[in-house]
Amino acid sequence: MRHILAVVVLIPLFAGCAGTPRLSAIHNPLYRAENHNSTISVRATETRDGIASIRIDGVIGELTACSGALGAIPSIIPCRRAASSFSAVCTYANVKTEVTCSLPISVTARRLITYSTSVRSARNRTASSGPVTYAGGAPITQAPINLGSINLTVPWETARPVIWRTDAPSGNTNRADKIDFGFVPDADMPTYRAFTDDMQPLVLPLFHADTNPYSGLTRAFRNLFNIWAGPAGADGEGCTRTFAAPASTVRSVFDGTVILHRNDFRDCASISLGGGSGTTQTNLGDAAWVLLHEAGHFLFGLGDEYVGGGNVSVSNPKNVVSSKSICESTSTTHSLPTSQCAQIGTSGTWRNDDGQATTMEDRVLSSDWRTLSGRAMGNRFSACTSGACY
Amino acid sequence: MNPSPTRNLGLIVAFVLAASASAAWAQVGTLNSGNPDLDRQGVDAPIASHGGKAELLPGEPVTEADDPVNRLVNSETVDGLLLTITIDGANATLDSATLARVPKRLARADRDVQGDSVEVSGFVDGQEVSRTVVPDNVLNASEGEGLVRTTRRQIALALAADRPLDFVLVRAAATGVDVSLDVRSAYARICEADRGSPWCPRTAGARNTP
Repeated sequence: MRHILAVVVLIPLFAGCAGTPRLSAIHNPLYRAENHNSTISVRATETRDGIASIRIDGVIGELTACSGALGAIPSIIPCRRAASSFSAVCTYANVKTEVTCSLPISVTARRLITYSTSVRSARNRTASSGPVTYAGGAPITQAPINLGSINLTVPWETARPVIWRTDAPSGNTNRADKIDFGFVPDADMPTYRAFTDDMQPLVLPLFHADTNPYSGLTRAFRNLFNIWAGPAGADGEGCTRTFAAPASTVRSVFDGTVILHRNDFRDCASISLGGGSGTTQTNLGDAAWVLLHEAGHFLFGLGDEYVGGGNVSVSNPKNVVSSKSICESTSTTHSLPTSQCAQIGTSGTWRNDDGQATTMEDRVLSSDWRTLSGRAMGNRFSACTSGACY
Repeated sequence: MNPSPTRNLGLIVAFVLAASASAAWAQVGTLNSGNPDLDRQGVDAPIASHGGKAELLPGEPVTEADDPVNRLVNSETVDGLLLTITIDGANATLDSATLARVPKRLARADRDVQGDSVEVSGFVDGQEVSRTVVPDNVLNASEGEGLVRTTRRQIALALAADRPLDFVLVRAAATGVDVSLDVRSAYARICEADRGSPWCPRTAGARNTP
């Protein structure tokens, strides 16, 4: 946990080192299941020597279900065929203010696009971002199976990568170093386009463009998250969440799934690690905060810390415990003052409360992950960097 | 001067043809990468701010074997089943079973899911060949309402299996579930097409439920 906090502190320090370029890269829109114009944009800054060049390298081709070869069965995680590499280079006269390099792509049906970016300063200092893969255009609806003498076509949907961090695999270990966060539309979404339109302003602040404290940790550790969209079939209402095909099948490969809805009902999430689900109403002014709070339940196993909430936790450590003595021992273990242990109302459950706004209690954008919930988030991220988020 | 009707018609036809050609050009000619293969893929010319120079370098075909995404998926998935199961009290029913490549990371029995969990094991010829564990979504936080305990819930999971499973055993301690489920429906389409396929189960589909 201390290492995680040190990284959080040091990232901005290193980023601010004189002479080291800073860059950020994102594609826009994040995902659409129809033909559209997509733009990969890279922003870079180096105020001492200036930016000399930005490079975007990638591969684009047709999304497939990885089947078609003899005996191969289809995959929910997509593959690609008929692909081409591309490289775009933008050069500058050592510009010391922020520069941008943009690559427009006309996205048609079943596209799968990978890009990585790098920037070079006038003094040859470099920075780079790892490969991100995203899908676009109409998704596949069927997959071939080649049985040798017989070819079969079966109805099929894949998970649809929105931000899929496709770094090269290292070694032979099972790679579980990412949290695969799935988004699916509720039955009340008017169209799939409405769902993808609603998803974008939730994902961007949580993982990219925001300055509020509540999203600080997910932005700092964005590289640990894969973001996926799933097909229709989900239906949420209160704590009842049902998944019919094809959403149910695709959801199987996510570590946690949120059902995005527009109708007004009480959001609810499982208190779980590595396979839970929840709901988030997208037309709220603070919907991104609500999503992160719900993800605190279904991705990180955290309990509500407010009076009248779901005051139970399965996180490590638990942010809500069943007695004062457990709160004190847990706090001691995690170098937190035992004097901060406080009962949540008269619930008989306890938490460590430093008096500051925290995201599992306070519905304000200035909240963040504090005391035991902060330790639990840090431990989960540490588990990811060790190769097994769950 | 009043143009003749014939000439008017000619102008209209010419205008329509020109407009059609222009529209066609607009649809396929808006790309300006200078590279036919990248044009075909939809990659357009890059744009640099601050008067910078932007250039799209020639691309090359990428074979399926060399594609980094395919290599990643090949290395991180195995043959298996995707299962959706509804648990209601002590009962469990199979909603769907799909033969698929599944992520290795999910098809492990040592996953850290804490709390209530569901353990699912796959059997062939009476022998357990695969097992995984997923959270049992019994406990829910309903905002402003408090803790909601659901006895009816749906779980989704991935189970590794390099051969057809006869049945899976589902155990969920939270509500006393210990049920076997016939999953041979996952292989039905392939078996109908090719009874000799290695994906056709050879044995019976479920143990006797206790």
